[in-house]
Amino acid sequence: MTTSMPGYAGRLLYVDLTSRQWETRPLPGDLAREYLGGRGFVARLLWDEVPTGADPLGPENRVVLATGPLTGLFLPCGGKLHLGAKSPATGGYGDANIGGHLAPELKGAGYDGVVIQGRSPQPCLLVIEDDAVRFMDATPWWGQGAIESEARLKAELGEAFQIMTIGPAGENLVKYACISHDFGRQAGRTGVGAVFGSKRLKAVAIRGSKDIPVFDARAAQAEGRRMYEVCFGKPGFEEWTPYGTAGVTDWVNEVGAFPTRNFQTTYFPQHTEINGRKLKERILVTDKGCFGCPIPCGKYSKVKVPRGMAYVEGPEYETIALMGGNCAVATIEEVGYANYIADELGLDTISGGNVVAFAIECYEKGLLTEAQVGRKLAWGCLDSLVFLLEKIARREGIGDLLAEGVKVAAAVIKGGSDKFAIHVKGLEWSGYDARYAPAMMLSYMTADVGAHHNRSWAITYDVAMGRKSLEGKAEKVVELQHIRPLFDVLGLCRFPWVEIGFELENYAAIFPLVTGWNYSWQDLLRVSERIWNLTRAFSAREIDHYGRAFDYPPPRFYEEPVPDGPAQGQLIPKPQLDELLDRYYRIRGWDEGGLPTREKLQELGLQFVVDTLGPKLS
Amino acid sequence: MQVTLLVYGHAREYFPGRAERYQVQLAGPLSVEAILREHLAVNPSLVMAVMAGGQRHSREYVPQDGEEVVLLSPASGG
Ligand code: SF4
Repeated sequence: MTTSMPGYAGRLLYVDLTSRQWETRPLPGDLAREYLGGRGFVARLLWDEVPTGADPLGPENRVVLATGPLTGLFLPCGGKLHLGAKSPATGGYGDANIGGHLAPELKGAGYDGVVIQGRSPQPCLLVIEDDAVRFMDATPWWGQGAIESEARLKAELGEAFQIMTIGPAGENLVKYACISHDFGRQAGRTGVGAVFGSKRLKAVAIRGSKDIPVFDARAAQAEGRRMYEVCFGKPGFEEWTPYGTAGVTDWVNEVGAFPTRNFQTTYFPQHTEINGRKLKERILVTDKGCFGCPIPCGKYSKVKVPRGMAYVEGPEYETIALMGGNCAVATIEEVGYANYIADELGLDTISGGNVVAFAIECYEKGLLTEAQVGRKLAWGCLDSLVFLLEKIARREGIGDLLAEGVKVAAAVIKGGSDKFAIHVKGLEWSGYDARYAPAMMLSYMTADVGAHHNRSWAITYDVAMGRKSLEGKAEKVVELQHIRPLFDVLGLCRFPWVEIGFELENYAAIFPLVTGWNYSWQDLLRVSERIWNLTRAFSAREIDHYGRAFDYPPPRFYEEPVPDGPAQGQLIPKPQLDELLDRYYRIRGWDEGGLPTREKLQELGLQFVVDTLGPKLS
Repeated sequence: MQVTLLVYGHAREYFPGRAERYQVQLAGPLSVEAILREHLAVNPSLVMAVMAGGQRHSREYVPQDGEEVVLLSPASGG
């Protein structure tokens, strides 16, 4: 293997779909040392490669796929691939990650990352097989479902290939189209599927057979074994798996944070019909996990509803929240069926559930009519949900507007609908209403990609330290925003840490054994902070007047108290949101307008950002 | 009577001493909810579910003398 850097394959693959040319370049040592991998590579390569002002759906935008230094090794849950692009949903930095088996395969093919640019003259499939790269005509699969396409491509190319696909939503440039892999896992957020579609890239198929070099293979293997043993030895280790993430549904209702009827309220009375128990009792076929995972959270299910029968991976919690409670759909079978439709169409279930709920509320308030929509819409109606998902994915009728996401749709529909268009920065809100959880609210407000929970999931901190108190909340959010994305940098799933209490020190212990670099946990966190500032700077470079004004939740969350349930009467008034933001910016070393200061950027080794953003910085 | 609580997942951060195992002496039968509140001074809402005897229970579960129960942290999921 051509590498002098243990832990890395040592190469990046650059692909131009317009010219159908490709080349490999050595992985730059400073890129590896300063950004480590995964999300770090995505952030830096997007900064370097995407021309300022690029159309997110134009050929000049890039899609970057990246593995991490701990990807594909003998340790728990090292199977995450990170993807990013200038987001068509927000116009700023966008990324998503996906489990399954893609990342180990890519690294095994000899690449730490892939940078894709251009636009294919016709639908195409990119095939990466060790040192060979080829392009295939994807016309036969264009228009087909994402999972159906994966099955057919596996049949054509061989089972050994790991494949990611888009569905009709990506092809039709729906701003929240996702990328699918392993028959039901998704890189869901920020519209990366639409960027694939804009490049006429239906799928990427990867097969790798190379070894991954490791600095001290014997010690790393022993440490990996120890990590598995620690996992297996955790109290109740086997108890988390049976429900997967769906197991949290009742709890989110108990604490009054469950998205219900387009976030009108935060408690769904029928939540016990769509929870983990019902999933296990009524539809579960088997558990399903990613590469090297000892705690498989994936649930492979069979659902039967009057519309038909389907196999689906899921539904996991976010889908239950956004397509269940948020659309008031009240049986696990119906939620599972909607999940299946969204998966085949290639739609992110979080944004998809938000957009449908927004449309139903607009209809309820008379802002959309039956004539405009093409049918009646109702809460709890699976037919309404499926009808809209299909219209959106094909951009037919009202679906063409809704395909733009709630922010754009509200600007067109007007009538005050912006107050209940539930997003931050143009990205729809995931599964936790935060009107009674200030740290969680701040997490959503400041997440670099928009309203997503995975950068900082701070709601238990709110529960533990006081639901009304602002004290310590900004500090906790910053801390989590450095820890959690670090898993995306290293190429790992974070669930062993969050769900079974696996200590962070375990990762710091194995990192030097794999790479030969003596980074402490604090050093790793410093890298994460560097990346956080870089992604903020990327959005500031791409979006006019970017900053504080982009960090507020929709007015519903600071003007409308929760009407009922455990969080009845709660909201966070705007002055308190400002107090949270002020503290947050101060801790980060950012100015009052929400941009990193020159001093902070220089301290983090980001002088090139200072040089680019120049006058925008204080 | 004595019961053992095993704490599973990130909520351990908010338990006294961040331990994984707590042995609690009780004067008589008490629900997990009450044990958390009265003996550990932990907000019971930090526990999503209780596992005992291979079954998942709510926090109202009352452990027997000598029983070990597992407390699950909320899953941060999806
Ligand atoms: S916990 Fe779930 S997402 Fe994480 S590696 Fe295992 S199966 Fe994949």
